Amino acid sequence: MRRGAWRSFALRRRNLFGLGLALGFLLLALFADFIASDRPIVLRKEGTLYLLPNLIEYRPLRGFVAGDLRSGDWALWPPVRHGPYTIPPLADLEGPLPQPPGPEHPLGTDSAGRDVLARLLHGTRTSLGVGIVAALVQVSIGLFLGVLAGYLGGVIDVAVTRSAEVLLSFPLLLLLLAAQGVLERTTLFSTMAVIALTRWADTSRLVRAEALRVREMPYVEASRALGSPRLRTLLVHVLPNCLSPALVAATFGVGSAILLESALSFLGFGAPEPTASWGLLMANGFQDVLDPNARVLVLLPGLAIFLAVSAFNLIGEGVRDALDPRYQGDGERSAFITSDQKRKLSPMPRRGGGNGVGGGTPAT
Amino acid sequence: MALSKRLLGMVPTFLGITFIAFALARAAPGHPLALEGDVGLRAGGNTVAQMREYRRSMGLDDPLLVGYARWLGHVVRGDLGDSFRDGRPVLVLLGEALPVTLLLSLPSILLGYLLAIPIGVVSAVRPGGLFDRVLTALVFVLYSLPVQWVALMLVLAASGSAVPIQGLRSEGVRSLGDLLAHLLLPIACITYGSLAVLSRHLRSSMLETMGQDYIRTARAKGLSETAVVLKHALPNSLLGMITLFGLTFPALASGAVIVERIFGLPGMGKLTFDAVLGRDLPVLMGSITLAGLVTMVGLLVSDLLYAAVDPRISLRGKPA
Repeated sequence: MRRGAWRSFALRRRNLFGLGLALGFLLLALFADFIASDRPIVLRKEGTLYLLPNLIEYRPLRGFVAGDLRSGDWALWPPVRHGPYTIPPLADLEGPLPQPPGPEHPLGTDSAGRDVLARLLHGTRTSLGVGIVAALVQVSIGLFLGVLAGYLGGVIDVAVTRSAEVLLSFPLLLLLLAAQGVLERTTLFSTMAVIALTRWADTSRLVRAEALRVREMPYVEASRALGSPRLRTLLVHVLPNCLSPALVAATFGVGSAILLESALSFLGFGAPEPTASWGLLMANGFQDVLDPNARVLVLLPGLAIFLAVSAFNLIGEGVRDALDPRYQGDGERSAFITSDQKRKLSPMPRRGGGNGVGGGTPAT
Repeated sequence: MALSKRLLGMVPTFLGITFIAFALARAAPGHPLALEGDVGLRAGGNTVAQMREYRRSMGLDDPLLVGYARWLGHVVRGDLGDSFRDGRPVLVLLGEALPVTLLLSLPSILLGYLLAIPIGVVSAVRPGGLFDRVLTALVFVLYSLPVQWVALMLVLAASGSAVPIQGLRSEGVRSLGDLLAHLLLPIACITYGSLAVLSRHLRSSMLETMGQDYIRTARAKGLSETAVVLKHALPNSLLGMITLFGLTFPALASGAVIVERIFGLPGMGKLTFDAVLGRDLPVLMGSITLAGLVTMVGLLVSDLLYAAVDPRISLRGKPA
């Protein structure tokens, strides 16, 4: 990113707020095992020192519970002493599930007796993991196909544009649901894959429009005139100048992938049980939605999703404003001016360069 | 002639949509042994022999392209097969489910536009003003809220009140008021997302229009600001909104999957969901195809509307 772009990004407090929020979630995701785990971070037991039993499986520690500590043993515990998957033995349960918040479980339990706080914290990992990976893959595909379509034109352009159009013709969730539904069983990997394989269409449209604009730039013409091979012109001159819309699409893509993952998991076709996923937690709360104890299961994951998605959307808006030439006042139109991510699909002639919808796409 | 060209241009899209539906169904585990072990199917009370027969006749066992051509032949003749679960024709099932989803989405589109217009106009009149900032923040929040959360919150809020939260109508009651009461929360749920998109779009296109020369002219000849905004800027900004019409539908149908599940409405979303759950291939292929087709028609309608409203656009091509 150009220095000027970063400066105009940092100029707005809400952009930095979004960035901070996203970093916070990222740290939570990375260090979830150090915040909520049923194994200590450091443990000394019977004369042996175990480092990071919360991450590493030690054979002598199988079946270890907190009460096993004798004199001379000590442990450094994470702040939340529950793992996201720990189902307490039936004998230990008091009262019906899900349990309300109490001293043992600060946010209560889900209907299997698992600690809600631990599952929420570890859910960050699922959401951000799926969101970021799906967005990166999606944008890579979209960037590749979009640049090829825009720069080379011809048959490739028609093929890419048509495929994108077909993909965008489906109600997204319906398509994802069907794609996940025909699999033997859904996994986190399949969830990322179906999101990435359907979402690239949006990105490729934005990138293609940008490539069409860049193709006509004097420096591209100069490169051609100097006799550079097509591939070199493409990689050195066209591709780097098409990165802006891809970067914007990537940040917005994380937010939308998080929303899609949570929706799919909520429907039971995303993250498989017993993954700690915000969508699954909400599904768990939905089972007995009228039970007051279950409310927290619906309320909190929803807020977590909202905050995570907002963080990436704030960054996305900031990046778009910072990179969009229109905001820097040089009057050059780029491909991603519209304030929303939806744009015109049909190759119909449009009002000539007027309303900002699909600006840069020439009428055919 | 121009229209027929536009219609002809839809053929590849149609082929693409149907191909995806077919390829998905074909990818489903279809080995008879896998089928026999499938709880969802056994519960439906269908025999494996019937399913084998379906797979054979619909081309699911043929090589991909041959099978696709065969299935497409059936589809074009209006034969989508019978449901594995209850043996009823898929076309009938779709015919029952589509109106329910339309009952949700059409009022929702209408409501979305009706609310988005004042919001967009007011925000654009004073960009950066207090009202604009509050609305921008609000819209931003709406963007990022998961539908299932909003729906469940509404269910929680309405539980115990008189507003119904399940189904399409109450037991034994057949009045319009009752139906509307049942639709109230679901429509609210799927409207908020499109409201956010539409109002943002109108705001930005209003801002762009306000910078045009003819607006300066209108101001220069002494028109009041209200007249400038409502008579000169708004109509031109609305043109762009029409193109969004075709795009709103798939978004609404996506939302409908979750909303119909939470509120127990027998629409397209629930039909697809149940079909996926029960591995009901004929219904699954049918509903995906239909969803794609409806969107395609929506895009066509918005193109036609656009051409009808804006004299500068014609289906014949770029005006000279």
